[in-house]
Amino acid sequence: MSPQKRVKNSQTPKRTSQGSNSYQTNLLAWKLKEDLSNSKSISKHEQNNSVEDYEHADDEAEDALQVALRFFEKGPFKTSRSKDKTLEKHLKTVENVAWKNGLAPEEIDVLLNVALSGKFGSAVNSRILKCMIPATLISEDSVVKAVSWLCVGKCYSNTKVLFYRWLVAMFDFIDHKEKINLLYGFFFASLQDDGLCPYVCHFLYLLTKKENVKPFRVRKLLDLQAKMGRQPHLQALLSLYKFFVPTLISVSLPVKKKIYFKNSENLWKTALIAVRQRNQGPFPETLKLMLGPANVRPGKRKWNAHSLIPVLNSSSHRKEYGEKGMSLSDYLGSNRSFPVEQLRSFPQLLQNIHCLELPSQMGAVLNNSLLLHYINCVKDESILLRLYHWLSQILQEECIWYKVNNINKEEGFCSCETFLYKSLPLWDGFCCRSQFLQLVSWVPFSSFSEMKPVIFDHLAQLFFTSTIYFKCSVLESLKELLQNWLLWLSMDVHKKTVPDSPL
Amino acid sequence: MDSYTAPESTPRQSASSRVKDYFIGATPLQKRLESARKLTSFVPTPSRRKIPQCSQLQEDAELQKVAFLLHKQWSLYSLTPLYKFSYTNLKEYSKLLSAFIAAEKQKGLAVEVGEDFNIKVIFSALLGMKGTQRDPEAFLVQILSKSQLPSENGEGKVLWTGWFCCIFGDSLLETVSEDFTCLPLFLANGAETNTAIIGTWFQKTFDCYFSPLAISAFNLSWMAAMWTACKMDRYMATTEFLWSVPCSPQSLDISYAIHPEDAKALWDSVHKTPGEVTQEEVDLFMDCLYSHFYRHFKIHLSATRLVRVSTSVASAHTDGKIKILCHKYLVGVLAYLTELAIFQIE
Repeated sequence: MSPQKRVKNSQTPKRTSQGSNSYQTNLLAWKLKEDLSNSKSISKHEQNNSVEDYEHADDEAEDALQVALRFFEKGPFKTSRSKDKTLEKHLKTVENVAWKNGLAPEEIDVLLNVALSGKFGSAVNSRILKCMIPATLISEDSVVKAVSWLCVGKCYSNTKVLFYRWLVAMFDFIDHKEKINLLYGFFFASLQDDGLCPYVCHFLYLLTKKENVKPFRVRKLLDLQAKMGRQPHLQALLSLYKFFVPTLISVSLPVKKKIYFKNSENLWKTALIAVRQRNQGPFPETLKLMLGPANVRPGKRKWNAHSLIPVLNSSSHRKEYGEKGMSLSDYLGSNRSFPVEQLRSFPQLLQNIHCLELPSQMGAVLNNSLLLHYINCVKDESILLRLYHWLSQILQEECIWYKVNNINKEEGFCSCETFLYKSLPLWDGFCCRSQFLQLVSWVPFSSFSEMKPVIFDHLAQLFFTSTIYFKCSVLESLKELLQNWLLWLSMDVHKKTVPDSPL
Repeated sequence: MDSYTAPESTPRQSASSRVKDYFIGATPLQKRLESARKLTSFVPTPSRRKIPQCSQLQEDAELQKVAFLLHKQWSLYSLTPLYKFSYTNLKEYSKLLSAFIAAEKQKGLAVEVGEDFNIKVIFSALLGMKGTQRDPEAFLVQILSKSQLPSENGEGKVLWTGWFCCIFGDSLLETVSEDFTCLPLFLANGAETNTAIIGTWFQKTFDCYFSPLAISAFNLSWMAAMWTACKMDRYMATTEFLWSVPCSPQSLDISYAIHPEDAKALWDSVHKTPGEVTQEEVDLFMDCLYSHFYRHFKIHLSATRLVRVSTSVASAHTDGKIKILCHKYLVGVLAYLTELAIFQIE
């Protein structure tokens, strides 16, 4: 094996694709043969190389990386001190490149195989896994190949743990996940292993799609739960299953808890930030299920103790009531409805506007500006009715000065307007002044004779006996009222004559 | 403010379409808005009401079915219309609610729907609990504990009962579309925690809202008059009133018990219009009681707060608790309560 003349080429991929380059063919030969006798000449060759190209730093790094990769691929050899040093050197090379620029997909492919095949010791494998930071993407095939190594049984258990942690941390960078999803059963079976369980749960949490949730898997998870108790990672996976198929499973999570999984990203956190910054392109957001309510507010009633505005929950289960499992057409059809929890951006709303699943409690839209847009456009009576009922009841309950004791109350008005008419006579002018006057400015358009007894008489009473600040606030809100009316009138096709100014 | 953006759009849109469709049939929400705008013709609380009619002699079987509703103290709630509730899925709802309750009781532990728990939830329809044909069917939810012994095949003990009904709810039925089921009155008997859990499930599943229904002193006096007016074969309980006077350190409770036949005699002397009770008659009836009390004890009861009324027909507490004693007037009592519930929702 004669030492080759080095071709000074800074572009690594080009070099490897050159047919005349015997490096590649030799690579294959080495992989198959694992010829130990070549090691000596190679190591000498590498040392020569590194001495030769000292001035070309970039090239050297690339070459050194390639060399290092080939070294690792070749496999381990008898330990001796000089070989240890070489090993150390190559590890350092790989680490430097990885932490500085990230590794290309092919390089990751090679290193994954090396790490999981068990050729080197567990310490080396750990170091390799810890520095496997992608430059751009990770190819799905490398992950599949790596997983196949797990079946061989040559992998150390802490390497396996590290591998799953790596998968979780790098999940967003894997380009496609269909093939990995096909291996769902394998990952699910790994839950048996107590040591791996938390990490596999976390990985499954990211990977699971609705099709993966099957009754036998639900039962298996429940058995695990019975065996291991209320582990947070199991709870998280079970609540994800519940989110997808609520007719199979029911779970109620404690409100306060927010963190379910140990943070696996620690090891690679800084590097991942750098990678994300490097690749400015949009990464598909993984489904971040809100396992707890967004706001934790103390409430008067036991029922809605944690949040006044209901948590957004799509009502996918309603269709499944009364059905004995999904029909074939549901599986094959592509008219899947889009659950509202996944709604993150306006373009997403526009794309899915025809198949949006509405939340089970309409009041939840108040926290979500995207859904508010949707409700504004859709002329669905039942949506508005649901919101109306919920809003009127909530306002009635939460309004501290509103008590219907007086029998001479006016009856039968609607939502905020209704609430305004009912509570204005009782208002003392101080409580929630700015909010209440805002309600006044939203009153819809009507004639003066209608408005006078309901709004203006009561406001006038308060007006004449109040401070200058209050008077100004009232005038401000009336001004806004006029503005709103003018806007509305200008949009309305049938123009009505403008009524007398209320002032 | 963000929180008001949604309602702002609602009145504007409907107002403009109302302008266009003023004379054309309007959707339920528009009808509701129209009534809101007709401020000059608002309907005050009715000044006359019908005396509850004695329902036809029912067969024993039917009597048995509703017997469990009597002599129990029910907590009252008003309920906004249920969205997409279906009477055909009652079995499904039972399963889901059981799983939900089991999951809530063991916070954090997931449970499989359909599994056997130590409690069972049963949804059943209550036939005959309606005023007109238009009223939706009432239904009942019961939580039963499963008996531990395998030898007992019967149902376990009833832990909690709740039922939903609507009697003469026409005014509400007109204002909702078909997807909604209007059952504005909810009565619950059992532990408050169970009521909370079941209420939460209904709110999450059918987008409705429960509010506790309080009965004001005004309505209590109406109830007293109406129930005294009911013809009874025999009187099972004395007619009793309870007033509460807030004072320190403890509030003073004044209880006033009258022999039921005396109360009926008083009512008959006050009562003028046959078949109906008017506001004047109620006021007169109560005034007579107040003046009688004053003559003896020199206390003006009208200045205190009426808290509880108890007759042979039913007894009601201002906190929204009711106990019905006579099956003949069950529907009549529920009709008044439904009216109160609808008033609270609208």
